[in-house]
Amino acid sequence: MDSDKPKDDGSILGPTLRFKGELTAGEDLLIEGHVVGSIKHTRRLTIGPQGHVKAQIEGHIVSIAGTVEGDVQAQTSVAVMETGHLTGDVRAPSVSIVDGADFNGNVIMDTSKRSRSNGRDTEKR
Amino acid sequence: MARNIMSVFGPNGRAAGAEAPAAADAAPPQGAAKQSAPLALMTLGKTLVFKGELSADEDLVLFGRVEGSITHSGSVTIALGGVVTGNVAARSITIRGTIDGDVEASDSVTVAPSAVLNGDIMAPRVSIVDGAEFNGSVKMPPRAAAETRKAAYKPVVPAPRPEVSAPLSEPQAAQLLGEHPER
Repeated sequence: MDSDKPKDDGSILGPTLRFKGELTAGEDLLIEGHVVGSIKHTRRLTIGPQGHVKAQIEGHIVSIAGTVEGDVQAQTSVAVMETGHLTGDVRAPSVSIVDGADFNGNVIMDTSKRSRSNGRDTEKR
Repeated sequence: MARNIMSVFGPNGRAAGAEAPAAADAAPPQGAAKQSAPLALMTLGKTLVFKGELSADEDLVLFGRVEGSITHSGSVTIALGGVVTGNVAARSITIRGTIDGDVEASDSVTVAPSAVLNGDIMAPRVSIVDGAEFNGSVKMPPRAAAETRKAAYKPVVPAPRPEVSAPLSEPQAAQLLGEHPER
């Protein structure tokens, strides 16, 4: 009863939250606050439009609609949304950058890890 | 979400009743990931582990684990299963989980029956419910406590009223009204 409750909708770190240090999580997570340090994640991680992250990010599926300074590594995919700002390197089997996104950094794509072969990637500045 | 909280903490009656409506209002819908509506209540799930300093202003319910300090300007609830190793400072703190560290609140600290607290409590108002595990000391800042108590105090007994069973005699009435009988 208690165990499967918070997992259902995941967690949201609200806009007033400020965290400095190491964050690990195993559930869907939306960050709207400020995080400095490192994030290790095993599921879907979303940096919301108000989110501000200055950290090394390791995750499965990472979607960036806010501001990220730091390297992003994902086992499945990284997506930088239209409102996203990313300064740092991206390492993932599948990377997508939506037109309008702000991105400065390298993309390292290990396509051998890609599960589906239809992953298209567009890189725009 | 709110329903679940209610089911978990239902037996605690009062506490659940006080908190569930707020949670129902504030709990974001499933697809909230796309929106950025201001949140009144923040839930940190049980798989979350924070190592470091955490601070926030919006009400916080912690199911996960924090190793480090929490500095908060609102209300913090350490839910059943939530673990904090470090100090917690907030306006009001409700503990249903485990805290190894000192707890400081500017308003109140509530230690529920399911709670385990190893550390000191500093708050003007403290309640420890029967069944809670608590090892530490309680410090209440004297002046703040007096002020809070005074503010929270509502007199049950009405102020004494003068007896008016018998009508006053002429001179008595005159005296009470500040008139001199001679005049």
